Amino acid sequence: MWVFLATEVLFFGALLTAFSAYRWAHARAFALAAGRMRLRLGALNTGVLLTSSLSMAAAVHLAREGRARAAARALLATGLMGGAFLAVKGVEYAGHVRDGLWPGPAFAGAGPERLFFAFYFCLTGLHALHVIVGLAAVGAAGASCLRRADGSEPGALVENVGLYWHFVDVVWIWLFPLLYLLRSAR
Amino acid sequence: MSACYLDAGRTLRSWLLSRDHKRIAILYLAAVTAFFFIGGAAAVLFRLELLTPEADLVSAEAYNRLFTLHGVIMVFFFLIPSIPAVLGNFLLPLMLGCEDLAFPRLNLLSWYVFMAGGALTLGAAVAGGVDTGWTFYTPYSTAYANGYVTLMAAGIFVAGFSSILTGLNFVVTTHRMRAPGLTWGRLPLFVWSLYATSVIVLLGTPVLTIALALIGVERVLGVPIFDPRLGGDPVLFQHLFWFYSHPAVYIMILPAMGVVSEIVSTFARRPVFGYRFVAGSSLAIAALGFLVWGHHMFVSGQSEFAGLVFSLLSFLVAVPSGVKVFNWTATLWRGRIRLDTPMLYALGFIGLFTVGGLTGLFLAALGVDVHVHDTYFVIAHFHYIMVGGAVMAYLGGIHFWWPKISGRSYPDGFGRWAAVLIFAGFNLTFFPQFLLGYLGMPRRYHAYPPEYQVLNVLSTAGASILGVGYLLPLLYLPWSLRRPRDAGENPWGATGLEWRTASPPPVENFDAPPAVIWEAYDYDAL
Amino acid sequence: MILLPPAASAQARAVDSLASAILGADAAIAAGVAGTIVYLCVRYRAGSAAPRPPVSPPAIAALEALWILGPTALGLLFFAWGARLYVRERRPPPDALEIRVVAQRWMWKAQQPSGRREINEVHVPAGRPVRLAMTSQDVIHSFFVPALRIKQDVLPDRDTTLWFDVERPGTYPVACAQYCGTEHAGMRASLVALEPEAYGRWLSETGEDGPAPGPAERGRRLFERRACASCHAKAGGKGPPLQRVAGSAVRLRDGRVVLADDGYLRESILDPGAKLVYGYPDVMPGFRGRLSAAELADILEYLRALGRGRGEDL
Repeated sequence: MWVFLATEVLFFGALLTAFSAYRWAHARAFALAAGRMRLRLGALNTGVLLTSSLSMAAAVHLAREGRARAAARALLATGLMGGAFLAVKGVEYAGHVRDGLWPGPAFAGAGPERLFFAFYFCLTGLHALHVIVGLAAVGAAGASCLRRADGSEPGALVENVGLYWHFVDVVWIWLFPLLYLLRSAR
Repeated sequence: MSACYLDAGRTLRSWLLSRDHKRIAILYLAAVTAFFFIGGAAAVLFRLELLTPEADLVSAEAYNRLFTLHGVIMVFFFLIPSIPAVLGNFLLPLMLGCEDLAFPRLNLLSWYVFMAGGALTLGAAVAGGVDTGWTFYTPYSTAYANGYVTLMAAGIFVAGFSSILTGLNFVVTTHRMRAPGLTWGRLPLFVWSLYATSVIVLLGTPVLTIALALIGVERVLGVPIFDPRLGGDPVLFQHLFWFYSHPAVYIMILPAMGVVSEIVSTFARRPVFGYRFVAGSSLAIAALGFLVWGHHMFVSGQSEFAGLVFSLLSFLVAVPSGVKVFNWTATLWRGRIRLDTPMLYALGFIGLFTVGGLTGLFLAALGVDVHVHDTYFVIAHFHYIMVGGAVMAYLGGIHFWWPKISGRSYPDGFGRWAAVLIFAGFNLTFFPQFLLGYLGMPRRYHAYPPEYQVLNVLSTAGASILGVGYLLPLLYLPWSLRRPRDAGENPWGATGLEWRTASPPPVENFDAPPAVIWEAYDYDAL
Repeated sequence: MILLPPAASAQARAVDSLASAILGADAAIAAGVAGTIVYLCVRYRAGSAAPRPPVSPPAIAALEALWILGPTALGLLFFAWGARLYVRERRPPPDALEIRVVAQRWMWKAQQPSGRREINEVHVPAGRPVRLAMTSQDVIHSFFVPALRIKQDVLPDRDTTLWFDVERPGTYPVACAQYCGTEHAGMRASLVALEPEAYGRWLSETGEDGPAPGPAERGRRLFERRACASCHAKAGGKGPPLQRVAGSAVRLRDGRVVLADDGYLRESILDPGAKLVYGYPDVMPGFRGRLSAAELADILEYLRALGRGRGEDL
């Protein structure tokens, strides 16, 4: 699983490096564009995702102790929060599209700002994809916990899913300041 | 004695749904052989076009599509999977003394993913082709190229996941499933090279996939990423592309080096000279290989400082390759040398790889690279490494392990003739291209000034010899399948664990799990 | 059959010397390896009676050290040599004659300082350093002169430069080395080096398209047509006055002081908000995508013609 995560780090790493290069080249435009982001929704999502990491850690701990039913409940909580994250993200995307910030030809703003939003959608879209995969994995782990409710196997599966979920969380911890916080008012 | 893996089922279904690493290796063998001849056919066509200075056989558009197809197929669908996915898949568990890879189902999945990628790529070629070159440079690929760029990029994208899955499988297997007593210091060098390769695959491939995905995003959604009119930077794509594609060169050549280590040791009947240095140089190449991508961009407008750093590192990465060549040569010293077919391929590899590596010095030296960059000199250089190196080693490996894979021996006379023919044809094809490049003929030219014709004719003549050479094994190896299975466990007197089980191996690889109490390449312990 | 292209500059001969040195070293190494392999294959063939005593560990260590350190030293030598040539190639002398080159699929357009334009031909005086300031209208191209052993990629919306000093008059082929699409192979031009007097005569002839306005003059007309003058004409306008701005030191709003070189001027036209001049509001529209590469070059030429400032207080 660690090996797989190394691959994932490079996956996001490449995108983030590209973004940073542009951030450097068009510092002002990117800061302005970040000013058009919805900080409150982003902050809300950060909170939701961090809390879900907490419940995931709890699930891993419970699974290690062999308390499968409790672990399944913690996984359910994690899954619900993941779902909430996606819902908020969806609202946010809809808002951006309404504001004309989809970086297609009809983009409302200057060239480098359009680049910012191109990266915004790529980065958060890829991240959201990972959250969706994570949700499926959390579901699978939860189901296997319930099946083993009589409690023989300590969950290597839960542990790996936990690692993955924390990774997805950490990626967001990078994205949030880069995309939302490095801003300046117009 | 349990059944041999070839007899475990004769239906198509028993092959297509097999989780046996040996059968999956055969599936890969069939697939990459097909891809090799598709890519080769494209090469034959454009070499014929280059017989004359004018565009007469094919149009400029067709020519550009042919070399793109050739590059994409050969790099992503032949060279990268060839040795790891065919020989590595077959041999890694045998060499480690275990029953299968760590994740057999994942292994089958990666073959299907690979085939899906191949189908997308061939689909794009059949539908109308792509004329960007295998490098997909922006903004040409994003804004100007017509054709099925997105579809072909998607094919490579998908195939990339196949390599990642295989690499993951190999790394975990090497760590977790070695036979008792088989310490890291006793591993065959082929395993070392596969391990180093897998690490590169895991760290490099995601960067390529994301770069290609960004091209897709820009083309399909109209979302600008590299568009210079909006302040985007097309050179950024080159950085992302070469960050993978330079290490990819090592993905192709490191396993080849592993094969050569095995063959040279076996036919000299000597342990590989300087085992630790040869194993360590694989890791050094894997590490340094990630730090030299910028040498593809000396004239792209990157900063002078970057040029200097990348040039220095490029000279350094040549050192571990040199260490390998010298150690193979020294392995022959005081050996008992037999020149069977695999050994001819391996010695051919050493010669051609040496020329390829040494001509790399021209390209690493900044002042000279500025002249020969993007000319036929570069084409010749990397074909010496990729074809003279990787393909020779692949064929050597196939001939070396063919008795193990099929249980049959092949006609050695044919084998030697083919090896000599390929060696000669190869040199005639690609040596003139060094001269063409220094004379100033740029690459990707469908038509050229008449003063370059003599060398181009020589090159095309060589290509026809090379083509015949490649067809020979395609004839006599399948023909050998009609012979009885009488190769025996260890026809070459080699030391690896794979030679301590039946040929072909049983489904579980070994009748009893082996334990290793001898050092690597210990010919006295046989 | 020729094996070497003509070498038309001191740099070309220097590149040839380095290439010959590498070739010599390569030939020695390749012959050594091949010779050793053949010798060993004969002497230690399976049936031979040659003695085969074991190799001592110190001998192994000595050999490994030899072939790690030897190639490293050789590599460092060639690195330093190649780097010297490269650094020289990247530093045009300040008095070089500047010719603008615009690449477009699939042709090369050049413009002399006097304003004379040509297509697929670049006339230069022999014996005098020449600097090409290059940009592309569409994809990446590469300006390659085999006889001078130099090339440089030409990028869209960015300036790259290439300089050379042709020694002998003559006509030398120019090729596009970076694949640029269908007619990439046909994107060739001629570099025509003339004796200085002949070059002077050639300049004074009128081109085929009649007497053309020079780049600075075209830049001036563009400057008025695009209404730049309404803010930038004199002190006290909405934008800073541009007399002698080229090459001067400019104080920015954030307190930094930068040199107004071509890169700065270009950025300030395309993306004015990026580096605002101290004391001026952020009101100028960006011209990214609204000026062609050639137009932008003309405006820059006009700005330079307004006089050069002195950046020494930087």
